[in-house]
Amino acid sequence: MSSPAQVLSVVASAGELLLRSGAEVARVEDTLTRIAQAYGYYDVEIYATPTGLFVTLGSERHMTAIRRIEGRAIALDRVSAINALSRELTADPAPPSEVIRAIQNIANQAPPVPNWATPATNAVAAAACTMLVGGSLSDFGPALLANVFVQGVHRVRESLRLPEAVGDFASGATAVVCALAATRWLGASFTPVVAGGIMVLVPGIAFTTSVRDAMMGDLTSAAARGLEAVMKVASLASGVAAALYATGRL
Amino acid sequence: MLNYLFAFLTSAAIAISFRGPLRAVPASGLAGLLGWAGYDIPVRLGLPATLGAFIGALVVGVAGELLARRLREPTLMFVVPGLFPLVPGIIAYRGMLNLAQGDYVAAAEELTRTLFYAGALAAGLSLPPAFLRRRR
Repeated sequence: MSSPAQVLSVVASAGELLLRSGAEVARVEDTLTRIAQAYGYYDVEIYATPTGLFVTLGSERHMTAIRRIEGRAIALDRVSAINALSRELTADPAPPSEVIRAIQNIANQAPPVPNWATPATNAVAAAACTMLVGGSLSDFGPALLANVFVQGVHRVRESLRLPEAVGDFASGATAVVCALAATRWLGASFTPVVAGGIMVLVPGIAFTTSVRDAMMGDLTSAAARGLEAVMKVASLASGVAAALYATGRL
Repeated sequence: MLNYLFAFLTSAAIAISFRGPLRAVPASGLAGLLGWAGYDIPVRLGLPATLGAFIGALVVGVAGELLARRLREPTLMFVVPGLFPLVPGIIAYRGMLNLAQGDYVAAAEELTRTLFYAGALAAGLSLPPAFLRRRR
């Protein structure tokens, strides 16, 4: 049987990567319990939240690991790979040192598409989604362009290491400027272009996940995600409002 | 009708943005298309948008469970992109904008709507796993 410290390390690393990649807390707790049981540890307590993970193994002489979750971003390929790994472990628990290495490889694996493609797919998703919230076909191109500019703003924000809220504020303002330009020169309508600009940033998924977590009884997770969503939407809206005010439209 | 194509496109594109494994991307798009149909058809028949959101999310949840089983991917791969066309981000944003403009009545209306809409989505999404997932 593998030592508790090693198994704890496997469980904590897998959980940390899952949470960092945007997996739901209930599923994370489920997967980690199964990994611990695969190694013969049935006394396991797991408490996962979007910002931290706590794992305890053993009942009388127990060991605990705490991991802080930073830099959350949805990465479905990692969730998929860890899930596959956990299935393999349930069938045949490999030596922990090998598994740790496998988890590190998953953390470092290259995304399925090259990095330059992501801004393009973001922009396409934003423009297509704008059509669904009431944009007309002639707004598709302007909405796409506005989104590209907004993503550019976020890149600058990242390289300057400013807080995310600053980027969201600037994004809201950028979307308004793009929309003003698009209505003047491209004949687009104002609101859909603003919506398209910020579409990928509005935290709809976070809102929904927050309510779902609350329903499932994961209240800490619900509060964390809900607050994250409120902060984000407030920053975006203040950016838009500030730009509207500055251009005399408010 | 064109909107169904845009729903597919939204979900497929966002699946790629979220680093989804490429072989599962068309299925994510499909989940988005089906979810949109689940929302759009009831709304066109005159039912309230919140009910449409519930049915749409229910469809996304069922599609997610079935696709996940078939393609051996986590449900997240289909549920997150599939839900994307339905999420209430824009209503929430309009509510916040109303707040910034000092129109508190409109803000209260939009933000309350967001809450109920998100609740409907979450409820719809929570049901399929409860019924379709094998208990161990």
